[in-house]
Amino acid sequence: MAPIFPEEENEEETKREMRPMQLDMLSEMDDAGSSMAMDVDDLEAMEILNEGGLVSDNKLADADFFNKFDDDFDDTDIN
Amino acid sequence: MIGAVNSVEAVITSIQGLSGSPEDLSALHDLLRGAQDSLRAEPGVNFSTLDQLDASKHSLGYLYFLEVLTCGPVSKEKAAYEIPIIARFINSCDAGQIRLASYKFVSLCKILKDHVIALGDPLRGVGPLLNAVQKLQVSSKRLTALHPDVLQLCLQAKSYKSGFSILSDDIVEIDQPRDFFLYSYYGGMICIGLKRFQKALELLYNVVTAPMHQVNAIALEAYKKYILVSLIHNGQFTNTLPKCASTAAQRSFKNYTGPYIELGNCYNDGKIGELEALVVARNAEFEEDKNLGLVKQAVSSLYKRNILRLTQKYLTLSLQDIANMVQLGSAKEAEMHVLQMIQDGQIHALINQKDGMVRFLEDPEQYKSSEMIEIMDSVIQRTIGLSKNLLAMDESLSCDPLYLGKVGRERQRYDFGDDFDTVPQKFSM
Repeated sequence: MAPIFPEEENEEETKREMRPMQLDMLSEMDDAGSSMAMDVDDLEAMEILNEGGLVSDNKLADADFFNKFDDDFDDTDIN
Repeated sequence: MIGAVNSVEAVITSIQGLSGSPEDLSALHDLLRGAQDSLRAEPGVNFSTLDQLDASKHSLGYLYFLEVLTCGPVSKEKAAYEIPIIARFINSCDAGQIRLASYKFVSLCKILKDHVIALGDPLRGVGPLLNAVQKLQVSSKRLTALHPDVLQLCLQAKSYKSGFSILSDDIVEIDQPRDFFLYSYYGGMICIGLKRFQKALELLYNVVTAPMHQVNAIALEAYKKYILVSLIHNGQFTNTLPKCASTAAQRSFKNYTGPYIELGNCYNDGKIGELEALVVARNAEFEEDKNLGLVKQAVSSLYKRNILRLTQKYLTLSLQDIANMVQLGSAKEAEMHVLQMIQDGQIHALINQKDGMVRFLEDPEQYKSSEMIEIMDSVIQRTIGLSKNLLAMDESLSCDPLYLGKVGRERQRYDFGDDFDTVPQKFSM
């Protein structure tokens, strides 16, 4: 499996200018998803306060909703 | 027959006489509610009856008559005739009067929506329904039953900018959960169409993490798009749902979204060849979900992600080197990707056309321009506003008898000693 960043030594290497090494002082930030909402400490307590009975997996709620849109998000024909 | 006509005339006269003050309108509304069954059964009621009324002055009465006249099975002829009449009414009606019978106004707007869809001309309904939302909304923070309908028509008409106009307000008051699910899902799609991926993620996240006792089909479709948009915008995929997602979602979403989770995991590995092979293998499923276009954008974003990683290691590279390192077909393809990334602000670079060299630059943004200060100020103000809303909602919830009753029941399970007062008996339910 070819690596994404090959380290071959050849005459082309002289054309690649590398950035100076930087110490990673900060650990990698978590993804945007977790910064978008507060963490909930006690999921169990929230479930207790829910109305209704047991969770049912058998039937999908709102299964009849309209979703027959054209797929308009293909960019490959642009440019 | 004469008696029936007199009855209709009496209603018309009442509408003409009682559409002034709030007290008169309240009396008129009671009268109309009592008369609506007989009006529905009255054959003498037709569109020429409306000529005796002014849509802007007699909006409440006009609404009752118009709803009676337009209800029933939809046909193309009926739709073609009634669309301009309903649209004119929506544009000229008095907001205060139609809010007295908001359910009837919503019903009339949904008839308009069905009509434009029957004619295959959804764009025709966008303007009137946008107007209808403005008139129906008591506050910009309140979601109406018409928001999802407007967004649906905008999506069908591919009129994304029109749809985006009702997505900028922060919605915090909701009546029906289904309306909120549809608003957030359709709204997410509108933002995807405009390539406002951050906003799309926010809206899709709202429906993925919404409370639900059973798996919701709208939330499932939103989760599929959420995964794809996360790849496109953030360049990574997290296998676990956010902690605040419901138990139903945590337990069951993965059972319905296998190909997408597989795609996300493959993306995280960063290997283009394997990702493209997976897309080919699962092509039918993505196509059936109408998500193939977004999947292709996700694949394209992996090239961009890999190019971005190069900018962290190199100051200069040739286009051919870039193509080889990220497994693009040619230097020309690499140039197209780099140009697009520069245009989108994802990287800062200069391309030397003569020798095909790319020089990667530092982000010139100093975050001290007046434009940047305006952006930061706007975000801070929005955060302050949301915080105030949250505090007000928390206060209101703390006084809610239903909430207090449930908390009281649960608190009895634990012994907190003398440090806590028990909930008063009258709130135990």
